Amino acid sequence: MTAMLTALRGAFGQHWQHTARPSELLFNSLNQVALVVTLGWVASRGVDESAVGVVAVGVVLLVLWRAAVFQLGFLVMDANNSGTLEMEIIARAPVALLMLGKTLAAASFYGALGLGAAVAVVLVKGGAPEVARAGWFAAGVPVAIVAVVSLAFLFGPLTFVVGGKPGFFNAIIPAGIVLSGFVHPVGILPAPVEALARLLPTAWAMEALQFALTGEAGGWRIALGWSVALLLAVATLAFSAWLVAIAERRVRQVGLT
Amino acid sequence: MKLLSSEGATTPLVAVSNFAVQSHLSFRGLFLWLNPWAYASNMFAAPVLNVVLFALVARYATGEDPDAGLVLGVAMLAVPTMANGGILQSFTYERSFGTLSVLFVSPASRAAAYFSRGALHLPNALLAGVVSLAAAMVVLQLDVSEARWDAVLAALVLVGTSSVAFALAVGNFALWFRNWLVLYGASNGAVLALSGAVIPREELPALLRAVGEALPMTHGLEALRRAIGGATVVDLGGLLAAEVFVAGGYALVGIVIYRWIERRARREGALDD
Repeated sequence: MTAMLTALRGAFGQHWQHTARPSELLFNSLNQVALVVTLGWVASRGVDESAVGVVAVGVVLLVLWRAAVFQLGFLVMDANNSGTLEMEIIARAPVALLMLGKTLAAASFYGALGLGAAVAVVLVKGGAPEVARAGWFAAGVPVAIVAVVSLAFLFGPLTFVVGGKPGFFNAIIPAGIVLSGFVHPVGILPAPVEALARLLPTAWAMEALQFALTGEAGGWRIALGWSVALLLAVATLAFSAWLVAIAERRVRQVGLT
Repeated sequence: MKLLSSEGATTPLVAVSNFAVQSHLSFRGLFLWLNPWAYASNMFAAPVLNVVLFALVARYATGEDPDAGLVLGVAMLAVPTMANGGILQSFTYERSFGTLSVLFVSPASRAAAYFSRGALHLPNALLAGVVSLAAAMVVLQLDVSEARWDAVLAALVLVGTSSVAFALAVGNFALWFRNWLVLYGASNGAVLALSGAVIPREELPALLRAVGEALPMTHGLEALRRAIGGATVVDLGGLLAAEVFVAGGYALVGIVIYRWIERRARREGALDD
């Protein structure tokens, strides 16, 4: 267990050093803040005060999603290109654990950036959003983060397994934003699209968070959202770990390509 | 007919041939989104999903369908986004793949080399704009019943041209800096926030409004919106001329910076610090 934690901490530290650089901060700030501010402006045109609140909260997760998918999608590819994948595979620590450590490092960095984006929306709006059920809301934030991270984690091995191509993520990112309902309720999606969205842990987690924010639904409905989100998140993580194993086996059989 | 002249482009035919060959090879070799997954992702899926995202937020916030100006603005963002993505990475890979040094020691026309890096990205960016516009018409029922299509085409082509000129100018800095994504994020963010695509320019502070004046798409987008509303090419003369001016300005500034970077690299023996 201690060895596992050491491996996790080492992967976290290595990736934190790789991520928390001025160029990353600059790229992501410029890229995310423009989107976030424009989304906030669109939301602030409405008469529904809660819409701005939903957007202000949603952008934290949205930024986390955009940046994390973009980077995590290249976790295995980057390790391959940097020459460290071979050592990760030879090492005794499970590759999936190392990838999880890197994922958590990326999530920490981009989560902080997301908080900055939320402040930007609040500044556009001119005040902090009101939260109807503060306790439920506070408890729902970690659930939402777990949901986002689990879904983003999927793209590391997935990209490698399908032979990752540069530019592939530019459609995955907006698709994830629309289906996850980061800045709008998934309930306003057309029925077939909503059904698809309900397969994602993020859709349930965000809906629960929005219910807590607006007070539109009671505690039981929020708890149901958390439960489904966490179940789907665990399933996604398990699926990701399975994909990592496939990627690792492929590397052992055919070598690094 | 010789396609490549070792003595440089001495006749118009050879010059045109060299330009065509360079345009083709740089597009094929330096544009890494040119594979089915990435191309479909960037050309079709991402622009459409971005339009849908803004439309959903607008509908959620206001309870009404988003107005045509917003839909058009977001749809047209596909043009500079595609131009920036393609051209900035081409400049970066020109260096990292090792062909830039070869280019710098060759007697080839620098103007031809520079502009050929954007030549095939122009139709590519225009296609992204057309796809986005079509998606707005089909998915969001954008009303185009009064559109003057000749004016729409003129505005679209000029937005594409200025976007390519802008991306080429910014691409120079991708030769200098190592991370082209910083430039990509900054360029796309600036156009999104300051061109009037989403936030009306009159709501921006004076300084940001002035910056927006000099960005690609700002004037062309306004022309496009009016063309969709029935304005003719003659009505849009001023806006179209302003977009031409912006494109010309970036083309001129861009080639000057390109030559300066080359001279600096020759003098100091390195492209960056």
